[in-house]
Amino acid sequence: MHSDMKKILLYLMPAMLLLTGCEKFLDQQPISSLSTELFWKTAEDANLGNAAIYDGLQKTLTDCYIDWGDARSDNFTYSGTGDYQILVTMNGLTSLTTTANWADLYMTIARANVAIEQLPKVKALSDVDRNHYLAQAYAARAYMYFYAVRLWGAVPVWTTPYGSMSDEPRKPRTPEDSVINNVIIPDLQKARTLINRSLTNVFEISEGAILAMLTDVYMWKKDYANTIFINPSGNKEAVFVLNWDYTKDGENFLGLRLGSSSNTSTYEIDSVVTRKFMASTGDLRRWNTFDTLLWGTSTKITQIWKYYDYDPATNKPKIPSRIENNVKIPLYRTADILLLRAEALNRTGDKTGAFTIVNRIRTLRGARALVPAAYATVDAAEDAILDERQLELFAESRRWFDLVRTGRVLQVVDPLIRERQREQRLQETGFTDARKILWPISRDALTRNPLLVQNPPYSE
Amino acid sequence: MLKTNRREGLPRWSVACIRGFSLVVALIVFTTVQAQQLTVSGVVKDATGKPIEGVSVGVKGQPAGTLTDEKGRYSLKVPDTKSVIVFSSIGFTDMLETVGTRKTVSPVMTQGSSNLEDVVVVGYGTQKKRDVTGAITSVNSTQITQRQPKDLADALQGLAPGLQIAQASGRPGADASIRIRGIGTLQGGADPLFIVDGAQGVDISGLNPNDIESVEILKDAASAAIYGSRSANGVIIITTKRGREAKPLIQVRYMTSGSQLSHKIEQANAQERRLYEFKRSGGGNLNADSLNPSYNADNDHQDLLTRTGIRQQLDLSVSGGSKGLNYYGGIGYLNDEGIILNSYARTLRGRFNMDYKPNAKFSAGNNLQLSYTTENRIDDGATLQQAIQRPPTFRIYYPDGTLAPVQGGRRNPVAEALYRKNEYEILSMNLYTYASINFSKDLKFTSDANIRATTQENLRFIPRILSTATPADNSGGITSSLRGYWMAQAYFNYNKKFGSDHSITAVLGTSADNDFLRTATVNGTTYVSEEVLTLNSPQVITLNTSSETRSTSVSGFGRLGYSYRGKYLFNSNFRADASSRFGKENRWGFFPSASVGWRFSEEKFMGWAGKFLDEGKFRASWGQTGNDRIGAYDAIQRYAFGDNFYNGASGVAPFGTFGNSRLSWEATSQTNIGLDLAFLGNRLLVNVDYYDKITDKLLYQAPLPLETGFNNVNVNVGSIQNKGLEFLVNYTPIRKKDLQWNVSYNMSFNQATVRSLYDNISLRSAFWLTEPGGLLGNFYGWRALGVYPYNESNAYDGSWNRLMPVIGTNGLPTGEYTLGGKPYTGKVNRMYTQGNLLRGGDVIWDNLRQDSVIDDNDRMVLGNAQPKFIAGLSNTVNWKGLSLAFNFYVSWGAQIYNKGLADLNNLGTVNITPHPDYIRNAWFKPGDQTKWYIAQNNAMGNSRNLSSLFLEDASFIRLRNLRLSYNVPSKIVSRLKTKGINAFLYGNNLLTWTNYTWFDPEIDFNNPLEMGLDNGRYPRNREVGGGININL
Repeated sequence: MHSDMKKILLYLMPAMLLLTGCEKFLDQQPISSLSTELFWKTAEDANLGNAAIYDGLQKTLTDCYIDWGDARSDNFTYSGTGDYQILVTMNGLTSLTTTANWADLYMTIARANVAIEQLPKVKALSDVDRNHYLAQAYAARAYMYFYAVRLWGAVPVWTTPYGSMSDEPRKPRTPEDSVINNVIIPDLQKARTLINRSLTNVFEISEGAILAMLTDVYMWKKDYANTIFINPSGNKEAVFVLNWDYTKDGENFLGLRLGSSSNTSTYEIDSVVTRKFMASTGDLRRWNTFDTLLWGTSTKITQIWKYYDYDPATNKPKIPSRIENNVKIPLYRTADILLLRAEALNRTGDKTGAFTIVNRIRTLRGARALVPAAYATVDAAEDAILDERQLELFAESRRWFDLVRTGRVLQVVDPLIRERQREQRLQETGFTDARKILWPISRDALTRNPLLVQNPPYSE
Repeated sequence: MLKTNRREGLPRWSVACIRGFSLVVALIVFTTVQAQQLTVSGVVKDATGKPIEGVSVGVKGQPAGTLTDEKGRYSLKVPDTKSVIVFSSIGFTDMLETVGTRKTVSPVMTQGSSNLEDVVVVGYGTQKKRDVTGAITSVNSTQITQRQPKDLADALQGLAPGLQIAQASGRPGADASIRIRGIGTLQGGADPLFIVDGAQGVDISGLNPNDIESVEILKDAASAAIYGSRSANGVIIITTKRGREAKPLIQVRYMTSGSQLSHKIEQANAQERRLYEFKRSGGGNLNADSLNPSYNADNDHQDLLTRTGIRQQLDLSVSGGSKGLNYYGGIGYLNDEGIILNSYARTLRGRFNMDYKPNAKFSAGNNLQLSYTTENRIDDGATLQQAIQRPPTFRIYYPDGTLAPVQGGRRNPVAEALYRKNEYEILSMNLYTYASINFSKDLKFTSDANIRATTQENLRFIPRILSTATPADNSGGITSSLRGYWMAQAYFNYNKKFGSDHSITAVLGTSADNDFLRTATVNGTTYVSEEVLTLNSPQVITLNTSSETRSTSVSGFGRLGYSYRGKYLFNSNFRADASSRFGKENRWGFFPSASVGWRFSEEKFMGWAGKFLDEGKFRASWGQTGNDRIGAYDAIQRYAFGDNFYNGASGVAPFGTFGNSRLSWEATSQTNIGLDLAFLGNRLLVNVDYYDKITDKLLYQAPLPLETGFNNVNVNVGSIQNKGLEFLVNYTPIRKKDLQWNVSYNMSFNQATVRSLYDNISLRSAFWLTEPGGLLGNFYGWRALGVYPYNESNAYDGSWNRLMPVIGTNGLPTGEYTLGGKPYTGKVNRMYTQGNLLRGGDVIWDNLRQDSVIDDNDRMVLGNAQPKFIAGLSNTVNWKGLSLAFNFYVSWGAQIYNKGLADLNNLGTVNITPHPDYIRNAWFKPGDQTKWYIAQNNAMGNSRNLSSLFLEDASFIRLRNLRLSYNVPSKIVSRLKTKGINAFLYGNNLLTWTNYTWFDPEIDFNNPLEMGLDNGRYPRNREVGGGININL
C-alpha cells in the first residue's frame, strides 16, 4: 500500500507544479484574424478600416445598383430566366425578394459607425488625416441612409456601433424626414468641414462627392433654394466612382444583371428607352450605350457598352465574362449634378438657364440642341430634362429615383406593366397601388426585429 | 506576439497537463496460490467442425487460463472434478463445462452476436457485459465482415438501435452522417465522438473496416460522460484487431463487384419534350428547325452519364505473437469506381498494431494507421442535374465523336464528367503509443498519446471546352489543408474484489489535446497550358484565402463502480473539461453521471423463472454530457480581412458574427431506463431502453437584427429535447450442430423538439421553420390545393371560402357562382399573389391569413424531416459450410423536400425539361382539372419554394445487404495447405420499397437546421459482387 501511494505521489508532483501552465495552454488567440483590442492602433489601421467601408459600398451596390435605381423604371424589362426579374419589373416585390434585404447596407453603416467611434482614439494619426477619414465615414454613412430612405421611407437609425451583448439590438423605424434632416444632412455637412480638399481621388469620397450628395439630397427634398451645386468649371466628368478589381473583390454582379460574355442577362433594355436613343440622331450616347445593330432584330439588347473599354480590334467594346468584370460603377458624375441644376432652375422659373445646361450637354454628346419654346409648361420642360437624364445617366441607378422624386412613377411605369402583363397572358392590373413605390421590408429583417412594421400594402 | 503560440507545439504545457492530478486510495495486495491437480485437454471446434483458434479457456473463478492453438487444441490444469471450465471467444456464445471424471473436454461452440460474458469496452477500461449499467450496444467483426463494407458507417447501418446512419450520397468516398439518439444541437456539431483503441482524433475515414475487432456504441449519458464535453452526441468506441500468441495467421481477402444506378428517374423523351414546347408556347410554335441535328436527338442522359462501376478490394493481414509480444498488421487497397463516368476513390489503408508485455508488471505498444486516398469528386450540379434537366433533344456528341459544348445555357453532362477536375489527394497518419505499469494486481497506470497529421489537396480545373465565356477561358485552383492533432492521457485503473461479495472498479486520470487546422486556397484563370495545372500555370491569380485555427483542452476524469455479488451494480463517472474555445470565465465544464443496475434474475424470489429466464437486468442512469464543437474563436470579438478589399487596400472589418465572451458549454442531461433479458439458454435476448435527453444552453448563431450590422451572435441559450424508445431482440430459433439460424431485430423511435430559443426568435429560412415548441426539421411553406380550372374559378366569398363557377352548356363559366352547392349572389372576391391576379392554370394556395393576397404570411408548417422510427432486421442461417445472411433497413415517416423535382418543374427557363408527369398533365386550356399548373413562367410563383407539391413521403424498406458464403471443407483446405477458405457472393442495396420518386429516399442529417432537402445528389448504386477469403 505504502509503495503504491508513493508511486501515485511521484506522478502527481510534477503535475501539481506545472498546473499553472494549463491556463496558458488554454489561452488561444486568433491566428488568421485579429481580436478587437489589436486593431485601430496605427495610421495604416485607419486606412484599412476606411477601406472596409468602401468594401461595404461595393458589397451593397454590386447586387442592388441596378435593381434599386433602374430595374423598376422604364429603362429595363425582364430577361433571362427565373421569377425574380419578372417580379422586379412588374411591381411584384414581396418581403421575400432578395434585394429587399438591407443587410449589406446596414453592414456598411456599421463599419462607418465603428470608424467614427474609433478614429478619434488613433493617436498615431495627424488631425488632417483623421478628419479626412472621418469625413469619408460620415459621408458613406449618409449615402447609405439616403439610399435607405429613398427605398423604404422610414428606417431604423444607428449612429453608434452595436458593441456589447447588453446593448439593445432592436430599434423601431425613424420617419424619413427625421432621417434626412437629423442624420443625412448633418453627416454630410460635418463631412464637408472635415474633408481634405486637396485630395481628389475619384475612387474615394472627395469634397466634390460630398457636395454632389448634398445636391442629390436637397433635390430629393425639393429644397431648390438650399441646393448646393459643385462648380461645373471643375469639369471633371467623374466625381465619385466605385472601384472594382475582380481578382480581389470577386464577381461584380453587374455582369449577371446586365449581360456579360458568359451568361444570359437578368434584364434587357426596354424598347421604350431604346426608341428614345434611336430617335436621338447624332448622339454619341446612342452607339456607346448598346449595340445599335441589334435594334429591330430578334436578339435581346442586354449588354451595356458604356461600362467597358473600346476594343479597336473588333470595333466594339470588350465585354468581359461574368466573373472577370472590372466595371467601375459611377456613383456621381458632373453631368448628373448639372442636370439636377437644370431641373432646379426650371422649377424655380429659370427655363432659359435650364435649357442652357441641357443643350450644353447635348452638344457635347453630339445631339441636336433642344428649343426651349417647344416646352410650354414647367412640367413639359421637366419631362425634357428627365429624358435627358435618362439618356445621359442610363443604367447609373438614377432613373427610378428621378421618377419617384418628380412623382412620375405611375404615369411612366403603369402602361409598361400593363403591356408586360398582356405579354405574360396575365390580368391587366397595372401598378395597382401607389404605396408600392416604397420597397417592402424583407421578411428576414422583420423576423429578427419585431419592432419593425411592414410598409403597407405589403403587410396585407 | 500573437502568432507565436502556433509554434509552441506539443511539449511544455502538455506534459504538465498529461501527468495530472490524481488521488487513489490505498490498496492491499493479495496473492493467492493454489495447488493445481488435474490436467484436462481437448479440441474446440465451431458448428461447422472447424477448429477455433484463440479461444480463451479457464477455470471459472480463477484468473489464469490458456488459449487454444491453431488446431483448436488446449491443455489446462484444474483443481478438482467439480471445476467448471469456461470457454469464451468473441463472436461465440460462452460455454461452461463441468469437468467431472473426464480427461478430455471438446466443446462445440456456437456463434452468437450478443453474449453476457463478453467483454465490453467502455471509456478507459472494459466491463463484462453483465456488469454494464448504461445503454451500450456492441457490434462484432463477424457482423461487420458479412457486409463487405467500404467504411465504418457502411459497416454499422441498421445494426444498432438508436443509431441512425445515412449516406450523404452515392459518390465513392462520400461521408455519411452518423447520429446517436437524434440530434440534440443546432450548430454545435452532431457527430458522435469516435475513440479508436482509446485515442481521440483518429481519422475515421482512414480506418479499414476489416481491421475492426469490435465497436461499442455508448448511447446514454452515464456511459458517455467519462468523455465529458465531447460526448453529448454519444460515443463510438472502436477496437481494432490485435495478434494472439500463436503462429502467424495470414489472411488474404479479395473481392470485386459491379454497381449500377439503383433507381433511374423517369425523364421526358424527345416526344414529350416537344409536347412541352407546344404547351409552353400556348399551342403553336414548335421548334422550327426540325433539320438541325443539334436539336433533334433523343438522348437518355442518365444512361449516357452512368456506367457499371467496378469495385475491387484486396486486403492482406498478418497477425500472431510469441510470449510477451503480439502483432497485427493489415494493408488494404480499395479501388472504387463511381457509377457516374470518371468518378472514383482509390484508397490504400494500412495498420500495424503491436503489444509488448515482457512481464506481468509492464506492457507497452503502438498502433500505426496510415491511409492514402485519391478521389475525383464529380460535381453533382454540373453533371447529374444537367443530365436530368437538359432537353433530350439536345446533342451530346458531334458526328465526329467529339463532345458538344454548352448549348442553350445547358451544360453537356458527359463533357462535364470527363473534363472537369475536382481531384482530392488525402494522406493521413496516426500514431498511438501507450505504456502501462501494474503496480500491483489491482492497480494499473497507463499513459498514452496519439498524434495525427492529415494533409489534403484539392485540385479543381475547368478547361476551355467547358467554358461559357466568349472567348473561352479556363479556370481552376488548389486548396490545401493540414490538420495536426495530438492528445495525451494518463490514468489509473483499480479493480478489487473484497471478499466474495464486494467488488470495486475505479478510474482516475487526466488528458490534454491540441487541434490545429490550416487551409489555403489559390484560384486562377487563363492557364498557360491545360496540361500543367500547378499554380505556376494560371496567368491571372484571383482570390486567395487562408485560415488557421488552433484549439486546446485539458481534462480530468474518474469512474467508480461497485458491485454487490454481481447483483446490485453501481457506476459513476465524472469529468471536468476546460476548452480554449470558451470565454475565460466559463472555460471549465463539469459532467457527472451515475447509473445503477439490478440483476433481478439473481434474486432468490425469481427462482421460479430460472427455467426460462437466464438473465434479467434492470438499468437506470442519469448523466450530463457536453458539446464544445463551435468555432475555435467564437468567444472572441474579431476583425477579419482578406475578402474586404477596396482599391488596393485590404479592408479590415468586424466579423459578421458577434463574439460572445460569456460563451460556455452546451449541456445535455439524459435519463435512461433499460431492461436486459435473456431467455431459453441465451437463445433469446431482449434489450429495451427509454431515454429523455434534454440539451440546454444550446450553442448556435442566433440571428441579430440586421440593423446592428451583424448577421448573428454566438449564444448558448435555448433548449432541445430528444425522447425515444429503442429495443433489440436477438433470437436463435435453431442452434444445432449443422444448422443455426439467428434473427436480430432492432427498432428506434426518436423525436427532437425545440423547447426554447434565444430571445424566442425563431429561425426561418426558405425551407424550414425552427421555433420554440416545434419539431426540428419542420418544413415551412405554402400548401397547394390544386389548380384553378378557369379564370373565373378564382372567386371567394367574404370569408374567403372558395366559390364554384357555374359552367354553362357551352362549357364556359356563366359568371354565376355557387357556394356549398347553393347559388351565391354576394360580392365575389379575387385572390392575388406577387402583384398579379391568379388565373386559370395557376395554383390554388391555402390562404392561411384569410386576405386577398398569397404572400409569406400564408406560409405554414407542412411536414417534418424526422423519421418516426428506424429499424433493422438481420438474419443469418448457417447450414454446414454454407451461410446465408441478409438484412433489411427501414426508415419510416420522414418527409423529403424533392428540390430536384421542384427545380425541374420550375419553368424558369425554357431549356429545363420538366418531369414527364408534369408535361402530360400540366394545365393547358380552361376547364382542365389537374394538379400541375400552367406551363409558363408567368411570375405567379406557381413553382415557388417551398411548396407542398414537392414534399414527399420518404419512408422506405431496403434489402440492404445479402450474402451467401461457403466455407470450403477442412479436408480440402488442409490439402491446399491453408487454414481456411471462404468464398462468397453478395449484393448491397438490392431492393427498395418506397413511394419517393427521386433517386433515393435515404438522406443525410448533417445540419439540424437543414434536414431533409434533396437537391438530387449523386445517386446510390446497386452492387453485386463476390470474393474469397483465405487464411494461411
